[in-house]
Amino acid sequence: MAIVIHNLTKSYGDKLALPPFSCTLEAGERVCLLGQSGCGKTTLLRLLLGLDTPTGGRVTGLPDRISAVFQEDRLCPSFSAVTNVSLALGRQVPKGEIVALLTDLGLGDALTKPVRALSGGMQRRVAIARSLLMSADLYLMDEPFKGLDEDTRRIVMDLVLARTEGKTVLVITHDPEEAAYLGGRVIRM
Amino acid sequence: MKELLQKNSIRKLLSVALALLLWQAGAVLLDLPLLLVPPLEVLKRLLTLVQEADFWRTLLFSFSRIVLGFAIAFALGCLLGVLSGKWPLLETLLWPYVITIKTVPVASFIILSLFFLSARRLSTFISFLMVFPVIYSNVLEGIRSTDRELLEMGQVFRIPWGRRLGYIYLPHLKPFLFSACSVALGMSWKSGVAAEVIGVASGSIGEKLYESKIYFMTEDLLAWTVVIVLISVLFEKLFLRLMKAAFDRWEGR
Repeated sequence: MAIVIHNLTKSYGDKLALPPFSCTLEAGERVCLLGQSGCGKTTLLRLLLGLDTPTGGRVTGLPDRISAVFQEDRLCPSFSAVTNVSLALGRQVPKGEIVALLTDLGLGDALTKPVRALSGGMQRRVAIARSLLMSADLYLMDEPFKGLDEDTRRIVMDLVLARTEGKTVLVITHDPEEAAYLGGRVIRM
Repeated sequence: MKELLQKNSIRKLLSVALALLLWQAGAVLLDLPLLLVPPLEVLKRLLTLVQEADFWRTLLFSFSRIVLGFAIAFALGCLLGVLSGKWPLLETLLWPYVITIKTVPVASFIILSLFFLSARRLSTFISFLMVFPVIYSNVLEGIRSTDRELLEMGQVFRIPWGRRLGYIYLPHLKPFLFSACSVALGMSWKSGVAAEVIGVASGSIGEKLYESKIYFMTEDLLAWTVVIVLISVLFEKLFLRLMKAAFDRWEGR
């Protein structure tokens, strides 16, 4: 089922955070949302996640299960990478699968360390693993590859592409190269 | 020597030694042994006291009751603090009680409580009463100031509330709990012993203090005061260490 965003807008007082925005995400489609900082990309994502109420417009066809990579990592700093991922997923994903994906993401040596002891790029990968392992119908990713070095970024992007094959994915980025690599439709805000 | 002095424990020990020295100097200068007994005399009296079976019975009596009051207040303060953070209505309902306990003088509570509680149980109740608002308010404050971004993450990933409590709220509550406990542990002893003194609870440290005052036994008064300080500090250290170990174990997952 397609997700239809119609004239969605958000204001905080006099400040317009998201000018009226419309688009349709077909089921299983990958869409990259390109735009400069402050154009409302993150606000749009927050509205789709139900974390904010829109000032105007509507969204139809939003699935029940939505996974996200936030602009910030949003990890529990004192717990390990494995615990952070399993915390969000509960018992739906076996621990072995979590360990396997984290290892694929280059975190094999850092599985049990508290995430606050990991580098920014490593924490980013934990956040990505958490999102990818969730069985969802829509994946919303806000600058997911931010802070990753060039080689790691390629590896992670390939994993994201493989893991979200056939799923509806909305990736927010301001890097046209990244959008080109990920493929799919590009919407400029 | 310089390295040794940089150690916090050594510095604390030296400051205690200095305080004892000042006490000794004051006692010598005043030369009023009935009012200000020299520390050595107090120590001698303390050493005599610890050899008496009654000393340990008295200590156990007060310790068990005051610690019980603290433990109940800690458990209930944590529980209600967490629940009030989740349901603001509960916070509103509890507000009059918490504000009353916080503002009414402890002596008023002790005297009022004597109407319906036996003096032997009073210290538990008073210690509970003084500790509860401290733990409750700190836990509530901790819950309220929990990282909003993490809570949103919990909402998006539909993490059940129990798990949010353990993994998102609890680590955030840690500094609040430590700060609350280090204040509340001392308060529990001060208020508990005050209740024993006013209620003249038979077999308690408070009773010993009361008797010291009646019979003008300043040595005993100071010796028991030293006991209270020592037991309070030791219990605080033990409790905080246990709490830290519990947190480390939980967070090491």
